[in-house]
Amino acid sequence: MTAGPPRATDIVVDVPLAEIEADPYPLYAWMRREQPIAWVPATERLWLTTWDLCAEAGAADEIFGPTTAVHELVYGLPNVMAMSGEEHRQARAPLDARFRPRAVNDYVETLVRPTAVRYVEEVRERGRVELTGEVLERISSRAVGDILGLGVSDETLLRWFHGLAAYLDDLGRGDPAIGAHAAVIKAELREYLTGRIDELRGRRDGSTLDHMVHHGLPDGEVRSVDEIVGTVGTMIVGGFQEPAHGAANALLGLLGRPDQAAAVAADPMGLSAATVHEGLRWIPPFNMTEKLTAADVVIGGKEIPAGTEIAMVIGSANRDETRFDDPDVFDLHRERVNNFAFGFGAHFCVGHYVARQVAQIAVEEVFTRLPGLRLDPHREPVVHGWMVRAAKTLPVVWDA
Amino acid sequence: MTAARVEVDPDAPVGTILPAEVDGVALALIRHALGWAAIDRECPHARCSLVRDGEVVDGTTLVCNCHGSEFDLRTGAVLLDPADRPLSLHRVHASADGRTLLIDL
Repeated sequence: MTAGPPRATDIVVDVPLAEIEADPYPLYAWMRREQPIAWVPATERLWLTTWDLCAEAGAADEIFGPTTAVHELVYGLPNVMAMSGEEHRQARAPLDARFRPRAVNDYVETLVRPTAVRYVEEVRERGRVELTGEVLERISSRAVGDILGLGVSDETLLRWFHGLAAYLDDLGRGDPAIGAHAAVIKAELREYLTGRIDELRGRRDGSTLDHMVHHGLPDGEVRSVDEIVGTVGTMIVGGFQEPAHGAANALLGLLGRPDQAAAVAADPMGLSAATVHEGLRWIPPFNMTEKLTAADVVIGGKEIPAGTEIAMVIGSANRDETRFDDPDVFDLHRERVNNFAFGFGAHFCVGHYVARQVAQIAVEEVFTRLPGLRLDPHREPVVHGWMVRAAKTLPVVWDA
Repeated sequence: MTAARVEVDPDAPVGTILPAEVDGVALALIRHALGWAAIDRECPHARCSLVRDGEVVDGTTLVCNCHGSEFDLRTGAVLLDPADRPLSLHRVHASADGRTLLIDL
């Protein structure tokens, strides 16, 4: 018997979860240099931390396939994120309809911008605000809620979002109170969707929910709530989070560089795309994406057994110094190359385009309406999280 | 070099993407702001069908919605990765009435 490559799961990097959540970037940098593949017990996953490893694994989604456990826990099954092959294509298609670039371009100015204007105007005279919660999450949840077809109040949308997203913040701990609260939210969402399916039967409205309920079925037939509720939960968490926290992280980086912030303030429409693009690289709200190996595989000279829970550490790959110069620096003027903020392969984020448009519009309206926007010198932002990471609070001031 | 003749609707709006099989070559014909482009149908990144996943935005930019690559339809150049190779662009001559495209293969 010849000795095979070393087993990746035997390489252990034991760092407390709280330390990773507080600031994973020093650990990412060390791992990229010293142990780019390692089992991180606090997260119960094998981490892939470099650009090249993530690119290689991301292109091999028949081996680095979807995992089910986290999706079952957080949103419920069946779930588009836990599917493969034809089943996945069938579940993804109705989501795609409203998220395709041309469809998005047709509705953003009428469906998204007025929402952004409204929430920025609500705070304009105050001169200071906690931007993530009071503005960005409200814009994102209302705008994306409207696109999805969730006709409930702003407060309900935010409650659903926070109730489900808390699971992801808590991943690795399993706090029963968070689970219990999320179970209540899921029951409420389920009841709401049951009513909406009845409404949509025979009265189609073109929303994402409408497409999910009807896609591929003969006229008059609808899907059951059990078939869609898990995926709707994923849309709520992913869809609300990415624009809001993408914009928050971009603004955290940008406002940390007053020279570049001044450039955006002078030309918000021209520079919003670069701002959001760089923000999503610098701190991607989904800092990792989870996979499960479907077979034994050798990658980076290490063997990974079948059935290993994998973390593709997007946050680390996005700061790989072999792809990005001075990767820890937020730089608006970086060459426009892509990053892994929206994931990989067949599960590449269906909302990649709409998420960026919503975040860009939020950045544009904030800079257009809040002159002299800057970080609040007296209140520190709270930047936290490992699987999902964001400026959870972003206190700012301006010249009201 | 061979050329193929394809009939199109001269009033097809910008953003129209049509499949065409020409001498066994699978093409996508794309109406953009400056005319028609004829390209190999598969995205050079991960071979997604550009008839299914391609979309024209901003007049002359093609987005592959599969993984977000962007291309310049005038030159085929990659504007945004993950694609690392340009589109295979075939030279197109449109007839004066716009109803016939002559495509170099």
